[in-house]
Formats: sequence, C-alpha cells, structure tokens
Amino acid sequence: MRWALVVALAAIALGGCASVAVERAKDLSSAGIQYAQATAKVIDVASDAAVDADSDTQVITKPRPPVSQQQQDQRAIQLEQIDTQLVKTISLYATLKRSVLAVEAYFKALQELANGSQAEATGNAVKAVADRVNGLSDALEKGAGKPLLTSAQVSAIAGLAKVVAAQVHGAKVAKALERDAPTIGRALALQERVLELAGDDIRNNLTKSNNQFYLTKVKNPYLKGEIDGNWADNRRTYLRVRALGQTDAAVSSAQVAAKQMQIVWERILSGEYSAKELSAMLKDTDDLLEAVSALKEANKAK
Amino acid sequence: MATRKKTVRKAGTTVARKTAVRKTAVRSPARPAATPRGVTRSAPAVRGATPAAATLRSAGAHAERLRALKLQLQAAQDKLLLIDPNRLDDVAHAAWSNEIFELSRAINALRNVLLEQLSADFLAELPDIEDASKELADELQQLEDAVDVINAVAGVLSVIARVATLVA
Repeated sequence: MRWALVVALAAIALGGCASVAVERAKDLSSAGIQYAQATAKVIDVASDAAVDADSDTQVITKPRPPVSQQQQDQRAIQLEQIDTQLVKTISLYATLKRSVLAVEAYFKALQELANGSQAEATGNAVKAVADRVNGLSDALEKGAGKPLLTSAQVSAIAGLAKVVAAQVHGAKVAKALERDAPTIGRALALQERVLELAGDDIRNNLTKSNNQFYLTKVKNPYLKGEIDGNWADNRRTYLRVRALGQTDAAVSSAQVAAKQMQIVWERILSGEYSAKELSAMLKDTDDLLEAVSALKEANKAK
Repeated sequence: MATRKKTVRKAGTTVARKTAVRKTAVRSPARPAATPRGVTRSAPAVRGATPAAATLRSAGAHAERLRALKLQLQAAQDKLLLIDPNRLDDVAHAAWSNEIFELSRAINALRNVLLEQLSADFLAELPDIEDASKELADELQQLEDAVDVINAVAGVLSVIARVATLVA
C-alpha cells in the first residue's frame, strides 16, 4: 500500500488546487459562452443598423420632383456605389461573427472538460479491478484462497483512485487554462473591439432615428404651431432619450457579459483566490487526507 | 463510455496552419505576426513586453484614429440631417443632399476599413483558437480513455478468473 500513499502525497503536492482550477474553468467557460453569444447578437443588430442608417438617410435626402434623366443616371451610379459598400459591410460582419463563434466553441470545449471529471467512473472502475483481483486469486487457489484485499481495502483503494482522478482532472484543467491564457486573452481583446465598432453602428442608427423623430414630431409641429397633447408626449420621449442616452438591449447585455468576463479573466491571470475558491482548495486537500487515512485504517485492520 | 470521436492532430497540419497565420499577418500590414502558439504555450501570459506588442499598440492607435474620424463624420452628418429640407431652396437642397450622400460614402468606407482590419486580426488568431479547442476535446477524451482502460483490465481479470475456474 506504500505506492498508494506516495501517489496520494504526490497528488496533494501537485494538485492541491484541482477544484479551484475546475471551478475557475466553469466560471470562465460560462462567462465566455455568454459573452460570445451576446457579441454575436450585437453583430447581427449592427449589420442591420448600418444598412438601416444608410437607407434612412437616403429617404430623408430624396430629390425633389421632377427628377431628370440625367439625375436618374447619376443616382443609379450612386446607389450601386453605396450598395457595394454595404454588401462588403454585411459580409465583414458575418466573418467577424464566425470568428466570435469560434471563441464560443473554445469556451464550450472548456466547459465540457471542466464538467468532465471521471473521478466517480475511475473510482468504480478501480473498485471493479480490485474485486476481480480477489476473484482471480480465489479462482487460482481453487476456491480456498484468502482474498488478497479486504472489502475495507477495496473501498479505500477505490476512494483514493477517485480522489486522484479528480486531481488529475483538475491538473489538466489548470494546465489548459494556463496554456490557453495568451491565445484567449488576445481573442477577448479582439471581441471587445468588435463590440466597440458594432456599438458605434447601433448607436449611430438610434441617434439618426431619434433626430428624425425630433424633426418630424417635435420641431416642425412646434414651428408651425401645430402642437397638442401628442406633441407633449413626443417631446418628452425625445428629451428623455437625448438626456439618458440610447440603450439597446443587445448592447447592454453584451456590455454586462463583457464586464463579467473581464473580472473572471483577470482573476485567472493574476492568480487571485476568492474565499469560495480557497474553501474548495481546502476541501480537496481534506478529501485526499481522508482517502489516505481510510487506506491506512484499512491496512491496519487487515 | 467513450463516445466522443478523438481528434487526430498531425504535426504537419499545425505547421501549415502556422504558415497560413504568418501569411495572413503579412497581408495585413497593420497587424504584427501572431505569436506562434508553441512559444506562448510554455510561458505565462506576458503582456506588453515584446516588440510585437509595440506594433500591436501602434496598429491599435491607428484603428482608434480611424474610428474617431468615423464618429466625427457621423456627428457631422447628424447635424446636416437636423436641417429641415423644406426650408431649403432647390439649389441648397441639392447641395445638402449631395453633402449627406458623400458623408455616407465616407462613413461606409471607413467602417469597412475598420471591420476589414479587425476581421484580418481575428482570422490570424483563429488557428490558435481552434487548436486550443481541439486540445481541450483531446484532453477530455484522454480522461475517458483512462477509465475505459481500467474497465478493460477489470474485464480481462474476470475472464482469466473464469478460465482458471474452468481449468480447475
């Protein structure tokens, strides 16, 4: 049983923070998935907003009739130019969305690894091996053999295997987090830039809409003296949006996710431990010590 | 138990990807070559300490200037759009409409430049991100495989015990 103690002690030394790594990976992956999904939504909204803002501008600046043939020819060229630009815009936003979805796929893979502890399965498998060893011993001794392992030993070995498997899992997750930190750090920085550019287009479209609302529903009626109760409501709506700024649900949701993401990511890089993580780390060590102790007791009882 | 298809990674594929990354980086002068994954993987995240980081900051500053210009053009266009077209004579209306159109064209062009640059930066990172995802899947597979091996050993021991009983 010496080997088991050595393994257990090595596991304590090497993987004392297995649960911390797993918990961090769980936090990080769910925040990362949420962030990527929110960014993808913002990209869709921004792509439409860029086109809508341009179209609204065309509507406002439409020529006064009659439009001559020369003007029509000129307008055909202009429309083609601006359509070509917007086709490119839509295509570039779609490319960026695919890149963001690749980041989401990374976080989903991380989540699967974090949730994929084989501790229980390993414990059961090792218990099965220990039981079969006893069965084999019995068969070779033609039914008269004493079991090589007592049932307490079998349970203790299985328990230790379970804890060691948890440590191996935690170590793998910790290694992955450290290994991927620079790559994912760069990807997150790029995602933040996507969010900035997309946010610009969404805000621009909202500003244009609000300004037109002001012009047609507030300013013009006021200048003409055509004001009533509706005008007062419209004015309040406009002033409120102007004072408080335009908030779009998609942008807000992405910004919240971005903030959460940054907090978790900074913790990963700085190596800070929260109280919860510390307790988890201590529990790991306790579990290991308990497993080692159970094994010792089992050996004594043999 | 192990139902996941194991990802087979060939050294040649990784090398080809790295080459592709470098080629992309060369095509996009505003972005420095992506740091090879093999180099960054063994080291902890070190920020702002490499020559590549300086180039990245410079590219970022350039992008920021373009973005600021785009926002200024948008603000200028918004001001023009606040003019009531009904108060303009035909000549002023045509000039006003033309100015707004030219601003739209400039805004669209700037947006495309910014998106293109960002898209190129992201595409250069994609092979590393995809490699990282595959490695995570492989690691999960290895954990599952280990349990499968132990279960297989238990199965073999059981068969041996049965054979031994039969022989006896």
